This record gives sequence, C-alpha cells and structure tokens, in this order.
Amino acid sequence: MQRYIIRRLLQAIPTFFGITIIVYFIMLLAPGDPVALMTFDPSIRQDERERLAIKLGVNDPFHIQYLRWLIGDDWMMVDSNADGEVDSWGDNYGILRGDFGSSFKFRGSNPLKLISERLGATIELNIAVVLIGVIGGLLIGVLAAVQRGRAFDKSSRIFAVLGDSVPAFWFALLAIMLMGLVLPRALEPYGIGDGSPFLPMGGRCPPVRGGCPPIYARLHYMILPVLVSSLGPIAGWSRFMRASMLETINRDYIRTAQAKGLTSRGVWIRHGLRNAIIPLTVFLGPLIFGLIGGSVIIERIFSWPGIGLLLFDSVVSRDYPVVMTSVVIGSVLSILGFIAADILYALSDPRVRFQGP
Amino acid sequence: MSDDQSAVGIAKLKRRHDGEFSPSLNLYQKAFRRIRRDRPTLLAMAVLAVFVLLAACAPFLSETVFQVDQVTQAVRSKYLPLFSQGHVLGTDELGRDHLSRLLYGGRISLGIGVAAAVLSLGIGIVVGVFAGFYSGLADDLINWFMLTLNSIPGLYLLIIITTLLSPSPLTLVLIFGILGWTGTTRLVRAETYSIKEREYIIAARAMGASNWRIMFSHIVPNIFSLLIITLSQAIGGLILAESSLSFLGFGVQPPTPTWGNMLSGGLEYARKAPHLVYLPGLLITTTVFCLYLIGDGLRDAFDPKIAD
Repeated sequence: MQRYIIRRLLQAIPTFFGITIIVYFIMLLAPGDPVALMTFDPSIRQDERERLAIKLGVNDPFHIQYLRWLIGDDWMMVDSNADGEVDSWGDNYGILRGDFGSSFKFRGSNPLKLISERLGATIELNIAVVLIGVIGGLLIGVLAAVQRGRAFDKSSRIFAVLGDSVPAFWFALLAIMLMGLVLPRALEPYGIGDGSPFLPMGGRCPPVRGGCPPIYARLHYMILPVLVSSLGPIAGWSRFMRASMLETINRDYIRTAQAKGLTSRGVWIRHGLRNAIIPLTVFLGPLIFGLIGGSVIIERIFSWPGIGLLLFDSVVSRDYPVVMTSVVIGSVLSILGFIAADILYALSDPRVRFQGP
Repeated sequence: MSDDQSAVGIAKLKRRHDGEFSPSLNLYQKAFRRIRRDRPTLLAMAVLAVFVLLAACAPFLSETVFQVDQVTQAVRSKYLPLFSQGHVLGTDELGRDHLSRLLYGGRISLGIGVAAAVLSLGIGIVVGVFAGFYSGLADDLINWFMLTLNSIPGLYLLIIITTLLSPSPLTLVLIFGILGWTGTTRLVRAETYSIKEREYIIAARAMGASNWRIMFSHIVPNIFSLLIITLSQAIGGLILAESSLSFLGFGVQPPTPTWGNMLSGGLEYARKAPHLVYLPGLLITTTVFCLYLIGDGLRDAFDPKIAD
C-alpha cells in the first residue's frame, strides 16, 4: 500500500511540471506587458522602466524566464542596475519554494497568502457538495435499481439527464428568485415570513468584522449554493449507482444469498449495495476535479469568497501572478483529489493490485 | 401445447422485428430498428430537428414571417412582455426583438456546439488511433500530455484563454476544439488497443495493408458507433460550456447574440423582464437535454447488452 501511494505521488511529478509549462506558456501570450502595468505612474522615467524590464527579465528567452519563475534566480547573477552586465544574485525563490511573486492588485501581497485565505471557503463548500451529492445519488440510484422499470426508476433517469443539462448558473438564479422573491411574496399574506428572502442570497456569512463565525452558526448561508451545485453530482451518481447495482445483483453470490433465504433487504443492502459502491469510488476523483473547476461559477453567483471567485476577480483585473498561482494551486488540488480517490479505491477493493506498471 | 408454440412463435417474430436474429442486418440497421421503437429518443430527435430547422431558417423566419430584425433598437419599446404587438416574445433592454435574437442566437450556439464537437472529435480520433496503434514512446508522451491538460480545471483554462483572445464565434470553436479532445482520445486509444490484435487486422496486414490504411479504414470504422454517441454528448456539453463562459462574461461578446450571452445579459434585468432569463435558459436546457437523451438512446441501441 505504501509503495502504491508513493508510486502515485511520483507519477504526479511530471504532470505537475507539465502544468507549470502550460500555464507559463499561456501567460506569455497575455496582452499588455507587466512593466507597463507596474509603472502606470507617469512620473516614472523611461530609463527606470527599462531597468525594471531587465530586472523582471521580460526580455530573456522563454526557457530562462520559465526557470526563473519555477525555481527562482537566487542561484544566478542578474543585471539588477541594467548596465548590461550581470552584477548581483537574483532575489526570487521561484514557485517551487513557494515564491509566487506579488499581486499587482493588492500591492505586494503574496498570492499564496491570498489563496490560503480563500481556500477554506472553497473546501468547505466542496466537501458539503460531495457529501450531499454522493449520499443523495446513492439513495436515488439504489431505489431506482430496486424499483427497476417502474415509475420511480423512469423518472429518476429523466431527472438524471435533466440534472446534467441545466446550466448551473441558470438553475442557481431560478433558485435565488424562488427563495428570495417569489415564495416570500406569495406566502406573506398567509403570515409566513415578512416578505424578506427566506435564505441569504449570497456570501459566506453576515458581513461582520473579524471573519466568519464557526460553521454551525452560518449553515443557512450554505443551503442554496450547496443544493444548486450538488444537482449535477446527484444526477451523475444516481446513474452510476443504478448501473452498478444492477450489475451486482446479477452476480452468483447474490443468488446464493437469496437461496440461503436472506430477506430481500438483507440481500440488497448487505450484499448488493456494499459491493456496488466499490467501483463508484473511481468517480470520486473526477467529481472533486469538476467541483474545483465549477466553483468559479457557483462562487461568482453566490459571491462565495473562495479561490474560484479569486481567480475570476484576478482575471478581470489582469492580476497575472494571482491568476497563475490560482491555476497552479487549483491543478495541484485536482491532482491530489485524483490520487486520494485512487487510494480510496485501492483501499476499498482488495482485488486492486498494488504492483503493476 | 399449441398455446406454448404460438407464444414461442410470437417471441421469435418479436425478436426478428428487433433485428436480433436476422444475420443479414448490420450493426447500424439493427440500431436503427431499436431506435425506431425508442419513443423518448425519437421525441428528443424531433425537438432537436425543430430547433435546428428554426435556427437554420432564422433570417427567413424573422424578416419575412414575423417582420422583425435582431438589430433595430427602440427606446420606446424596451422590456416589452411576451405576446406584445409586433414582438411575439417581447423585447430586451434595448428594445430589440427577442424572438429574432433567440433565433439568431440559436444559430450561433448550435453552430459553435456542432463545429467544436466535430473539431475536437476529429483531433481526438487521429491522436487516439495513433497513440493506441503505435504504443511505446509516442503513446507515453500523448498520455502525459493528456494527463497534464486534464489536471488543470477546464473552466480555469477556458477563462484565461478567452480573456487573452476575446473570442469571436470562430476562435471560440478553435479553443473548445483544441482543449476538448482528450476524452475522445482516451476512448479511441483504448478501443484501438483492443482492436489492433483482432484477426481481421492481422489478415489485413497479411494482405499488405499499410499502417495508415489499417488505422483509418479498418479500425476507425469499427469504433464509429461509439463516436456517434460521443458526438451527441459533446455537442451538449459544449453548448453548456459556452453558456457558462458567457455567464462569466468571457464568451462571444454582444451584440452578437448567443443563447449563453443573452441569458447572462438578461440576468441584470430579471426583475423587469423575466422572459429575458427564462427563455434562453429554457432553450439551452431543452437542447442539451435532447442531446443527452439521444446519446443515451444511441448507446442503448448500439449496445444490446445495456438495453436489455
């Protein structure tokens, strides 16, 4: 098992370098040059701009720039006063040692710090979505498999396809309009509520000083975003679960269990369900991955202060260091999510071989 | 006794109707017979055909039949509700006719979806067949590249690239095509892997067929049914992706209408004119729903094991 985990982690290393190359290459295509962005002040003289350009290394060839960004330049001499000769050691540590440069927008703050402040919000939301999505999907899938061919099965299949085809932001908006506008107004005459929205329409907690209260005090802020973004996972998992369950119950050991005279609930739950869940752990990786990507939309529409919203804001304000950092961190999180899901799969199914290529 | 026999006879006839027992029918004929009896899929196909037809006839319908166009703005007739005089589906925040914008928007949304799906499928097939056929170093490299591309959250990449390029419909198609091929590649690669050891491939090789010929006239036709299924799902996924990008403000820029940017543009005016939000959203959902249903139906039709 240890060897398996170590091998999976080692496999992630080339992927990580690939990601950094792609990200760096894309950002090189970005219009507008960083020097102009950093020296917007008209009182800065032209030769100072040139000095900055040389100091930042924007005129270097691609691979040098990439290396300076990746592993830093404190191992090489750079031309810090722009006189055409290298004279002092560089002062970047490179992203591998946690130096992601500094944000353009929030003057000088470390992008990594900006992200770690926001990471909690994204993780909190996604854990809730994974839980609700997986549990809801399993329940619906099992029920559909048990009731195969009957009304519940058919409607759950339609629901599953529908859940995949609704644009998330549109569904979110309908939910907001329903809970914030339509229902409160409709129910006010009957003495339910006072016409104000039933649920908070966005944000992670009430706007107070000193950060958010502990999670149990602001659960109602999570209801709408979690429900909206778990629609897709519920739909997907109910499908997987139904298929897996139907495959399992045709196995010989299920027939044996039935022949032994177990109750049908015993057969379905103890023998069917537990074996049907195993192959599903494979889908956990893609689920987490999809959530990290999709969080941009959910966080934007519910103003949830996570890394998706940070990425969006920094793309809009062209804060390239923060953009690059969030993409790298988002990708690392995805890789880790995939690895975690693989390990979980290996743990849950002893038949998975730990050796192999 | 005779009852039993007739029951068997009917069952046989029924199966013959399904095409299970007639060896003269090929895979596609059998699938066609199954589809013909699959009502949800047929319905989805009909709805989709109507949408495509409407989008294709957008200029004729809006200019000749309804006598409106998508660009004329009118300050006096902003936010008209549904079924207004002269504007069947109302008007938007600039007084433009909503119906004709929906028709033209559908043209672009469907066009982007179809073109990008075809492009990414094309890239996916070629790369996948190569990787599966010549395993070894090329395969490893392609695998590494796909793994890398797939580890960056797709929407992140899309957002960044579209901000850098501020796309027209055509560039958006290229972006989607270039980023979206990995799924097809993985599928095609796995299939090629298993097909290339079959007897008919060995036979073809024995007859002196070149690698190129084996790949594209023996392997690809054999996975064609899979590709049709993938295509219908890819189109749906791409229409959704276009609308998500538009919602974030990075998609095709107005005034060119797409369902996605009409929907996101309407969000601001949701209180004054809810139809600006309901209608495009409903159209996107219905289209994607139909495409996914068709994909499911095709899978069942091509793979009798699942259908039973």
